Amino acid sequence: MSVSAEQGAPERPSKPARGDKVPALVLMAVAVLALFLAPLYLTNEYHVRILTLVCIFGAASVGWNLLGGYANQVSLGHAVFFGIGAYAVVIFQEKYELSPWLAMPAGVLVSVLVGLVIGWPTFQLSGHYFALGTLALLQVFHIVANSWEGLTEGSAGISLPILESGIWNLQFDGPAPLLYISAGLLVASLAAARWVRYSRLGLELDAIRLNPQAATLAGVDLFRAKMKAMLISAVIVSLAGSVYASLLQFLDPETAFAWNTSINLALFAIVGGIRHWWGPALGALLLIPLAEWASLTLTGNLAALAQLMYGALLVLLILVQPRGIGGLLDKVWRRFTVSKPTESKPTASTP
Amino acid sequence: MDLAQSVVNGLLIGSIYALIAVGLTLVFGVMDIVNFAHGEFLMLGMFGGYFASSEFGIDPLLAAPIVGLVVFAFGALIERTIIEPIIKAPPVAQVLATVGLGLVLANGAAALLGNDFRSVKTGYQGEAFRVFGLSISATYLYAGMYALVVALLLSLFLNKTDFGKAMRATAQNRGAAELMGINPKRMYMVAFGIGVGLAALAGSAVIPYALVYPYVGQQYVLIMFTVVVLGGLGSVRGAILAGLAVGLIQTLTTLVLPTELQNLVVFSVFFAVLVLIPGGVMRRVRFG
Repeated sequence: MSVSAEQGAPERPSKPARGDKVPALVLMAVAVLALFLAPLYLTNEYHVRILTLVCIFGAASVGWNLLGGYANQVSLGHAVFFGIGAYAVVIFQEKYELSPWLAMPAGVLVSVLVGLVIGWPTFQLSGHYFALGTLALLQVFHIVANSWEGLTEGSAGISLPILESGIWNLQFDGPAPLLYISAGLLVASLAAARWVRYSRLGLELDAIRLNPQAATLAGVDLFRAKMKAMLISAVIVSLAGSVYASLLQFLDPETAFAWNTSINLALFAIVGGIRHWWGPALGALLLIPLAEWASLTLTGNLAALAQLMYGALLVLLILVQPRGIGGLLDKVWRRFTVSKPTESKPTASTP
Repeated sequence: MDLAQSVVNGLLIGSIYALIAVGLTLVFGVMDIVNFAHGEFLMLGMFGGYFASSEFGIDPLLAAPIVGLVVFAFGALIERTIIEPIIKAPPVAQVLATVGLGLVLANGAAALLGNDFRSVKTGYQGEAFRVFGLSISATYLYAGMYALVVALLLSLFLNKTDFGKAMRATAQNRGAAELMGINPKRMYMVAFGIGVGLAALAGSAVIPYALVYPYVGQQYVLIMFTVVVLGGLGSVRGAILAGLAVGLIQTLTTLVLPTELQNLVVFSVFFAVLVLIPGGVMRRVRFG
């Protein structure tokens, strides 16, 4: 993943935020290439699976960040979109023997509708209230999925039938093809996040994060900007959920509408840096292998230590480094770039 | 008969909700912080009551004040180390920091104690009082009475004592309170301690009829947010009334709907209140 710092900090108006430093994209390309080559060198199927998880949750976290990071509207309910995307796949495939490729647009459509319906009331809430409202929504979906047994089979869950392997059914003999698909999803969501970051919408979301009142005065339509971010993020998270269901080949309400999913999406973004389009992906790349390693080494009661570590990390980061690794790299980058011109042209610059 | 029984049960359960929610609303009212880890402090209290009973043979209802005091001290410590630095941070940071704290507490308990469901045995567990043909379970009755008494004491503390008045002053205007010689940091520490201590006390009071396990907090967390929002974030009197109301909603919906849907109604009410009347049903008067 990229280790370059990005410009575009709002406190430097002389250089409009039109793009990041080249290394961010170059390193991203290298990372993607590495992802695609990985199955050729990784002999352990389990490692390929971990990489797949990184891509899926990395993409979902990148999606969460559009609203939670860029605009600072912390949603604790994004697992709703994840679950909808996932349920679309298992319901299509198990009940109607339809391909996941048909289920994905259906899931996206439902997610967008849900996003529209919940965005309308919740965007009038600010701060704590928005987090509370989205949390309530997740609980509602959880209960509905548990009790609407005709559709979801309730808490027993749905196992996918074994079908002819191939791209159409998203069932494969080896783990590599699904890694490619999730890597594709990650790249697409990163591209979308980068595009938003440097578009007019990105500036508007920035303005909302810094000062909603001032943003309104400057002519930003708060509701529209938030809604756009919400819908793009709903699409991404829903697709990630669809791929996740294909990876698991099983789904129950506990997995689909998990409180942990909502927390993890926020956590990855915060660790990687919410101000950067690539931050959440970096967070996922660091934390998911760590959690998998922890769940292998810690058994029995100690298995809870993996989640405990996540929680402690969340608290610690917010106290010590709320901007995550991205923010840290920003500081380092600024030290390099600011010190050079003052050496060459000592008269021109005033600090 | 069924209806009257449901009303009685709802009020008894609701008074426990009220006690839990009073702590949450106190923390919000004084500090402007929504504590997403509140349910985990309830869990600590339930384990406190459980161990008081299983290890020392002390009745959980008698142990409740001690458990509350211990968690009060623990909460004050947490406030100093984790909450104080983020008291002026944006809501995002506060939300995620308290969510993280909840993860640490729940999973810490799971790592230490395992994931089993536990319950205590008391002498009065199966007993019920018969009044006008209604059957009132002893455990629910004791816990409910307990909750109402404690909530009343808190109300007296906030309204009649100097310390309580100072706390309300801090809630209304931190700057002005500071000028009057009140140390807001001390108020925050005590308010947070009281808030989570009350949750723990409630936990110990419900353990005679409830099961405890490390993640039990998640089961209560949204219900208490519902109560707090319904009563108006920051209003103690509102939280008490809303607690009773939510208890009633839960038991009354089971008359017409399957049990697993009772919380669906509660959360829908929650969502509706949040959106339609963000200030809560009681107008936002801090500690009315």
